[in-house]
Amino acid sequence: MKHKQFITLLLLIFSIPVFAQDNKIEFEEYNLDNGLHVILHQDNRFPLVVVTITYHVGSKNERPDKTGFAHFFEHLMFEGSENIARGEYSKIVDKAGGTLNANTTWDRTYFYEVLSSNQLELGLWLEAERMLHLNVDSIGVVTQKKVVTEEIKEREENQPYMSFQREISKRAYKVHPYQWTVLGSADHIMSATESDYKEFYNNFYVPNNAVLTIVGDIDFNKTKKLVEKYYSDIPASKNPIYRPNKVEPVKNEEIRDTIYDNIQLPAIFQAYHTPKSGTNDFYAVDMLATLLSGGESSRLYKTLVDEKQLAMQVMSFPFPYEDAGLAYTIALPNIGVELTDLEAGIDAEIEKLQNELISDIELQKLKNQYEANHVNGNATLESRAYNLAINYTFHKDANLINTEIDKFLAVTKEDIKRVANEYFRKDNRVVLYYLPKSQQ
Amino acid sequence: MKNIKSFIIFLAISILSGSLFAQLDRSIQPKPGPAPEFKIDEYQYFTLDNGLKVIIVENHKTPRISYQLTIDVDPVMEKETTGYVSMTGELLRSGTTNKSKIEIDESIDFIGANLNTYQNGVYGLTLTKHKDVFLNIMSDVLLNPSFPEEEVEKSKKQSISGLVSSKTNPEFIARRVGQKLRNPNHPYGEIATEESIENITREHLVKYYNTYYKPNTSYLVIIGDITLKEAKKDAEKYFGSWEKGTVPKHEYQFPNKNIGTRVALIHNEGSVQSYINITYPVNLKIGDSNAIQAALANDILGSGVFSARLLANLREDKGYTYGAYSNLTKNKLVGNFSAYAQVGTGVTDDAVNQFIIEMNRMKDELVDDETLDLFKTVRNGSFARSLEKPQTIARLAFNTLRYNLPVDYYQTYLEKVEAVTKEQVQAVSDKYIDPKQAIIVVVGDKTKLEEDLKKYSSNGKVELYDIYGNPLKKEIKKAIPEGVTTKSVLDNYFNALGGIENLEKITDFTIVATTNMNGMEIKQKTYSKAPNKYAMIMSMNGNVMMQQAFNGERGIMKSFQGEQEIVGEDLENLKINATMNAEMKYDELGVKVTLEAIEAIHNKDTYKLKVVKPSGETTYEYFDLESGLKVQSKQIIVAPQGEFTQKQNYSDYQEVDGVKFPFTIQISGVQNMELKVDSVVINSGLSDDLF
Repeated sequence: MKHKQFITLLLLIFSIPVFAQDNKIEFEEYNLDNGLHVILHQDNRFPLVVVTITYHVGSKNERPDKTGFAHFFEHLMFEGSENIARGEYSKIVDKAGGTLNANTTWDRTYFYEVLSSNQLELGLWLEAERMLHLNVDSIGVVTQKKVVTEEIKEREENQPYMSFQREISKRAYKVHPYQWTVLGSADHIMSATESDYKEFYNNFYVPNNAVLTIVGDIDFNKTKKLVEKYYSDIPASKNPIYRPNKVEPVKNEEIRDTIYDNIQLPAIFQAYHTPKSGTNDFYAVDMLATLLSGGESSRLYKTLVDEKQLAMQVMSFPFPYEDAGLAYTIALPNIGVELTDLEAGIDAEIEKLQNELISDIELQKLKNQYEANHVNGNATLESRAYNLAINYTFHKDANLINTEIDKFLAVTKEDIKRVANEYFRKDNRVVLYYLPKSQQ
Repeated sequence: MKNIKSFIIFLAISILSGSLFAQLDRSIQPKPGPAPEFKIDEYQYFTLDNGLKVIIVENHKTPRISYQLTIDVDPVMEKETTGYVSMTGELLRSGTTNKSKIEIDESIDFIGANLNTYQNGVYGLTLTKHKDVFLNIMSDVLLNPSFPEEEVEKSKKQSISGLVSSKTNPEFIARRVGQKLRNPNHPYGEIATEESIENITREHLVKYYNTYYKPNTSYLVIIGDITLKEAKKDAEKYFGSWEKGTVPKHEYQFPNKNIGTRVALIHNEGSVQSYINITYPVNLKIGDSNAIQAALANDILGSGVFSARLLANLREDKGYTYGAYSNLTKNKLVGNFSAYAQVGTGVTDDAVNQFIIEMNRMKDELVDDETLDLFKTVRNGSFARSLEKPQTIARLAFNTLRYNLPVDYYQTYLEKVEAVTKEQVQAVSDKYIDPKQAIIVVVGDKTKLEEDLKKYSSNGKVELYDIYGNPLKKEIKKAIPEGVTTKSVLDNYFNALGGIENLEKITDFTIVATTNMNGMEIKQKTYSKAPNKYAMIMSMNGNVMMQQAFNGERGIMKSFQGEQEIVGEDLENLKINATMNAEMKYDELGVKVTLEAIEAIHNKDTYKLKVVKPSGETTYEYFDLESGLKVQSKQIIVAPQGEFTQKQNYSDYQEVDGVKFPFTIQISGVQNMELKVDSVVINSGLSDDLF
């Protein structure tokens, strides 16, 4: 009896700091000779397979006079290949009853297919086609230029407030390529030439700059053979891959500005420079943002939305950049509230975090929230494929899918206070007031 | 024999050499292996004694459980208070008889769960280990909401701010205007405006909740890491005490079909794109015999795959837009068709044209076999993939029960899709895809679009609307009838109140009124004495919060912050406001009054008088054409934060000693409250000491 009690106690002690891994995600990973990194995760409970390729290229790899290229290129990747005619690429997936899509950020471009498990080979063939010999004709280029231009209008120009990222980025960064947005410049895209695409393709769309994940109802051996079949003879690039090593200097002056937009309700956008993703400080910053606006009991929501009723909506979150990035706080006032009052309210909450430790209960709440996010964030095959791919691409550690939660749980009250002082300084931020055009 | 043997050896060698030496032929698209079987997981179903229908989908892949509760009732007409049904749902979690909002928020966040409440429903997601804490809160929120007054006011303020923040969002505008125009005189056509939100009171929410939130018309869907036995126990424990009741039913006429195409244009100044939404009501329900055929027809026209005709044409061929789609939405009462895209301003005209061409093609041509097969595969693939998620299983179970579908409706779904013929696709297109009954809603730059869009309208007219779908008045105001003057409007008013004779008999009066602020009851007593003495006392639980007094010369304001003398313009204004029957003495008080227009207030015509005090303070007063009574006074307040409108609505006029007084005064604008008059006492001989 006694012995058993001891074990229970021991378990209790150990179960406190580390998240209980009942749902550990098992996977295998290896490199092909050409540098392609392959990650396989098996889950045979449903006959689906997710095939994804992440190219470690995003807008930060672009030249300052060719912005928006990575995203534009994502569009071109659906145009066809040596063996697939224009317009057929997605049709092949449609005909197989599958689905496909892609997205681009500052740091990577992500492509995926979701197929029934008997179509695994098709997915591998399709991705290999565009990795090996993409083929884009001039009609495709002209059309996609127009489509991307409309996309920029639809997402940024013709939407209230949505130019905020563009406006913040160009003020926050003077050196680092995060100074332009993923969508980039419509002018740059319209003026792009054939040699520009070729160069971009040859530089970045190569196996040694890619991660292939295959997740779902698979057999490891058969899958490995298929990967070998379609990818082993795709040549690696000879040139080193361009990775900007520009480091944004530490800021010591607040940047403030006013943007007059087609809006009727004003808004505040604040952005603080934050540490590189994957560092211990980054996890603390992430938690701090959740403390500020994760859930209706969070500090900003409770104070500004519920108690003082200064804000209709307020949110705080770090952008998922790879390099040192930005944590945004966005607040929309209730009608009739002065932005200066609202901003003072936000700043007061930050100051509180700089001066006082958060309570034990609040820390426990945060940990519980992260534990739930961890469980919910890996619930589907698609989310697991994504998390494995991104963790490897940015941190060379796919197993973060299981262990990142421990890094969050290791954050202390002191860490939160420290990062509040270190990063959430007024002289380390950009603040934009969005005002109605009529007030200009 | 020999031959055969050598043949086998030859074959073996060629296979071997193929895999070892030959280059991979990448031009050959890989063939699929044997198709796997997609099974629809089982669901369980039971009903509690109070009538609550419970659906359970067990799924132990992830240690979490979701709970979704749906109140399945007929929609109601919300009219000038549109928005209260949705606000009732949203405010469920803003306080119960046991817990304040902040306590609810803290306990939900502490376990890392989500709990959302919305129009006729509650959704929550929790880790299995926190299930009981979660259910305690969910059940409390659903069974005992208290709708605190201050939360109602807060929510109104947020809703209005939210509407203002979306006033320049073209998608938001185009969708809502489309919804309104295609559903006239139907609850589905009601959209909330700043004014309708302002009109909502706590009582609307309480009444709606008490009438419609009953277990016997509700479904609870439980998905995840739980067994049937446990789910049954929980449902009984947490929702078993919910009392059943009779819920009113409502029926509405199906909206009339438009005869001919209409064009509705909403101006968005300087817009670089136009949002096009081509829409009309359709009579199509889940489970209808042609529902799957109709879904396939819409897939071909406007689904999200690149082979769909709208995307292929407007995006991949013309590059007009980032995306062009259509929906054919099934609904028990009124379904709808909607085709939409956001396109460059300069190509709006042809984009509308292409939409119409593609819609007509669906009716006029048979689709080819290859297209039909492709879209069958897409639909079936998407259906099969969706079965990975337990949410899908739950949705299918819910539909089966709610719409009384055959038990095997979804079990045989794939076969039903396979069986659709191209003739059927054309027949359903003919029925449901019809530009001739459409309203083409466009949000964009009017100056660049109005002329070009005329040709799409059957009567050659472009109808102009505001962002709330109200027709823009063509600046032709209703003419003020001959003989009506400022004086006649005021005289009419005095007569309506009881006549000048009765009004002049008043030497003093006392009004006691009640209002609620932040859940607290506040009493307001107003004393008035001829010629111009006035006092007002506001108190809460017998404690005076604020008072104001004017003795004909001096004005004083007392509050927690101390006593303050009223001076300057405020004093001048007060002198006029304090005057008994001030409206009868405007001339001698130096107040300028002009009759401006006939304007509708709450859909009734009124005479609008502009009233300017010597201080310059301007108010607008509205007098009902029929009754002659004052129904509203409005003031524009200019503050550093911008301009605000403060309104007072007067209603429920009741007669006291031959003179009518409004017994309900609704104040809205910067501050919102409703004053209910408890008593009016006339000529009680008020002492001068009061002032």
